[in-house]
Amino acid sequence: MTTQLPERLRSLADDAPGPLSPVGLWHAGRRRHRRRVVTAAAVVGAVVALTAGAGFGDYRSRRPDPAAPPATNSGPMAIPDRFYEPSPWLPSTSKPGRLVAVIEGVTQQHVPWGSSNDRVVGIAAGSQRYSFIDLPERASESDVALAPDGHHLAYWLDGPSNAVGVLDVTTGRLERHPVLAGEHLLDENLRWTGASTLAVEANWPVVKHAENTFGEEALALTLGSPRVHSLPLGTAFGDGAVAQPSGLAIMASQRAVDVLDPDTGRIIQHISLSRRLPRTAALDASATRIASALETNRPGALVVGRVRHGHVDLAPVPGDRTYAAVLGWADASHVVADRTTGHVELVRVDVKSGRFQTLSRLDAAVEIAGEALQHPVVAPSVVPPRPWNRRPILAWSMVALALLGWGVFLVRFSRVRR
Amino acid sequence: MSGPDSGRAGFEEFVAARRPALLRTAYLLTGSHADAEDLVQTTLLRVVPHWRRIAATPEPYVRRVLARESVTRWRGRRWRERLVARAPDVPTGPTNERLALRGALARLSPRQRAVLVLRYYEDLTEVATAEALGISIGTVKSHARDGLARLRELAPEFLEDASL
Repeated sequence: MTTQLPERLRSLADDAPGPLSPVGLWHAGRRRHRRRVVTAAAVVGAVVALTAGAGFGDYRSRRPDPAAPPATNSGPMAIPDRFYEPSPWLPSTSKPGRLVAVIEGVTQQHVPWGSSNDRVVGIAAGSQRYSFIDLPERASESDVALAPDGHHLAYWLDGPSNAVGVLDVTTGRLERHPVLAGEHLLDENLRWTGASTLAVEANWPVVKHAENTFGEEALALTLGSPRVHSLPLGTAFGDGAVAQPSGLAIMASQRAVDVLDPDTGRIIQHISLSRRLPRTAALDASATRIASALETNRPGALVVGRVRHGHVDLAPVPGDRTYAAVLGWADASHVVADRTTGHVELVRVDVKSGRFQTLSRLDAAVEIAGEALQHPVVAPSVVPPRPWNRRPILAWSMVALALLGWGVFLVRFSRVRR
Repeated sequence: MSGPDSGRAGFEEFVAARRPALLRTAYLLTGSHADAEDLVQTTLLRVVPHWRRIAATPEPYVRRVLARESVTRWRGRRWRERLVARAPDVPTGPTNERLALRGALARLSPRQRAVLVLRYYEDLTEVATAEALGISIGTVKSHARDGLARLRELAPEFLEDASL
């Protein structure tokens, strides 16, 4: 065949069509070339414009409000008049600056896919900038406690040995405090007892005389010091615990409050209550007044009482039964409480008249720094950035590119067939 | 002449001189008058922007565009033209040899067809065929071998040869 094939191909080629005039080919070729250059430029321009537009829009959606006040790492902290539900697309940082509040349990979305549950969002003091906080070595689902001055976040660290981590949110430095080595901890609680002192309570399973029981210990840690000392056991961090004023650690049963010296763990005052307190209560800085909200599973009335001879008679505060919790004393005659109506708001309540003033609307479950609740100052809220969901942007960009490519393909082949 | 139309005269001379030969090759590559004219037309249109660069020896470049375009066009046409379950019957008999060969060529893959046309009609070496199609020499060899075997299979009566 190889000897026959050239001859047969030449014979077949004789059937080829006759020559046509080349008139106009040159100009047609140049027009075609120009068209292709313009098409390519249009495609490149469209892609660049799309990418730049999406990038700029994404940047603008993430950029903090330029009118926002600067972040402050010292001085009094103002409470924004509204805390917003954080976007899952906020940026992350380990140095957000001093925080006026944190929001736990927020889901963070990642690009292009995936998400992280139980992240912590911090709201910076002053600038009110919302951001996810990178908590190095954080144990899965560990609670996070915000220091009263907003400078530190405490949480349990991941790893084979038990340790509490304290992140300085102004520098990003992590301080590690090993505690309760060798125990398999079950319930772990953290509570700040001052700007630099932290109470830790945990329990763990113990088999003793063939019976299952629990070991329990409460400890006090001091920032910048390896010193750890024990605190009295009790119901320190369960229901009925008392929110501590600055410089004092408090423990209580539901019928009694013990005031501790956090430096020594010694009980310096025992206060009995005239009625059971189902909720966290608040003791004022002078340790002479206690306030709480009644009812357990729904909002209730406020009760308040003065300490006399180691006893408090708790009496209802005039007003409605809309209070979820008392967060602290603003001054000698006002408490700061969560009030629930159609929504949750932070209010300052006069404990004599029951009149209240709304400080902030809470669209999310925020934990506010303790110092911000004392003599609270309210600042106009800065609406946090609502970064775009980048997945649809990515998907639509790909669709647009595919359509552009398809269009170019169609144009090219339809012209070839012309 | 250095303007945009510089080289136009040379191009038109080349087209006038070589268009019949290009049409013959294109006809072998496509098996259809219309497609052959279309292929040559497209090839020449694509050559125009590069003419100044290739004006000295345009033939290899034009052949390369023609061969590659024939393969690319076939790929592009696969989804635009309705496929039939089987190819048309290949007529047999001494009077229909051309039709039989055209039918057999049509049933080769585009690249096999291009390799056979370039190797056995254009009389290119394996190296030149590989360069024209942008494939390796090994691929040229395998396409040539497979293409010839397929031709033997499709048209055994009049393509039998003792030397095969």
